[in-house]
Amino acid sequence: MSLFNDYVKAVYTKLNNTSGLTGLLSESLADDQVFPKIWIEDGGADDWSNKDDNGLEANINLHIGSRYRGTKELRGLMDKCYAALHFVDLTLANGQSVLCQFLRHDIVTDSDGTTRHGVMRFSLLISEVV
Amino acid sequence: MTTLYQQFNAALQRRLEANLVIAGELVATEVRRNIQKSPRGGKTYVKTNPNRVHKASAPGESPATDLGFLVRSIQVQPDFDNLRIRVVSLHSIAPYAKRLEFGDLSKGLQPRPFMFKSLAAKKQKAEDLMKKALNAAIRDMQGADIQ
Repeated sequence: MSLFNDYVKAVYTKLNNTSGLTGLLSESLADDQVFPKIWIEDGGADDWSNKDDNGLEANINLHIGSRYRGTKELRGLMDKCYAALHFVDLTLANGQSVLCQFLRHDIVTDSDGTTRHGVMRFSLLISEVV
Repeated sequence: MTTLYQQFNAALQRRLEANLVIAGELVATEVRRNIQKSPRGGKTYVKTNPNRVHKASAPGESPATDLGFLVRSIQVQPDFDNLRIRVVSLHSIAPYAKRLEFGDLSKGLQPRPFMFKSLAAKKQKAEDLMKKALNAAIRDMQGADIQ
């Protein structure tokens, strides 16, 4: 079982194959200044096993950065992420995604005063049963 | 003369307000505890004024307390008109709290979550408190005279 790797990979693949988001994603937050960008943060996971099968209740946080003057670009990217993930069946190499649900979002302005920073939180239920 | 509805409304309001404050303090205490008991897996800094060595938190951990401004900035703000309670970090005391919670993409700073993490940890308990408050208000009304 490699559920811990699979769900992050599944989210990455799903977003990277979405039109308008391709090439914007990274799993590490490098100190580059290329915007817009989307950083996938693993928000941790709780056990979601039953007596027969293993499972995870995981959280994924998407950090979306934009230097467009207003929030239009940022909200457009958030719309695309929402459409790509909310109540969508993700394809996992092992196991299945039982639920992928949007929880909440926040928009803040970063310390440079120009970077708009959107945080989207998703909850995932992952089971090893295919 | 008060109607049964008015009596129930008053009892409910009283119970919910009292428990809202408790629920808020429950989350706020967890926030403060997270900051003070942070694992501190980050870099070590030698700082001045006052002279001290500070071991910082690593990405993903709650921020490690240094002079205690962040802990002191955590406050509970009741909004009883809307039956709501807010747990906030006061900007005037710790203006950097937002950067720690959400990270900073412009500087490559990864988040050190402490607010949402604490809410997630205590959410169920806070919800249970409110359910109990509702049940207690209903119990208070049992045997009341119907006007």
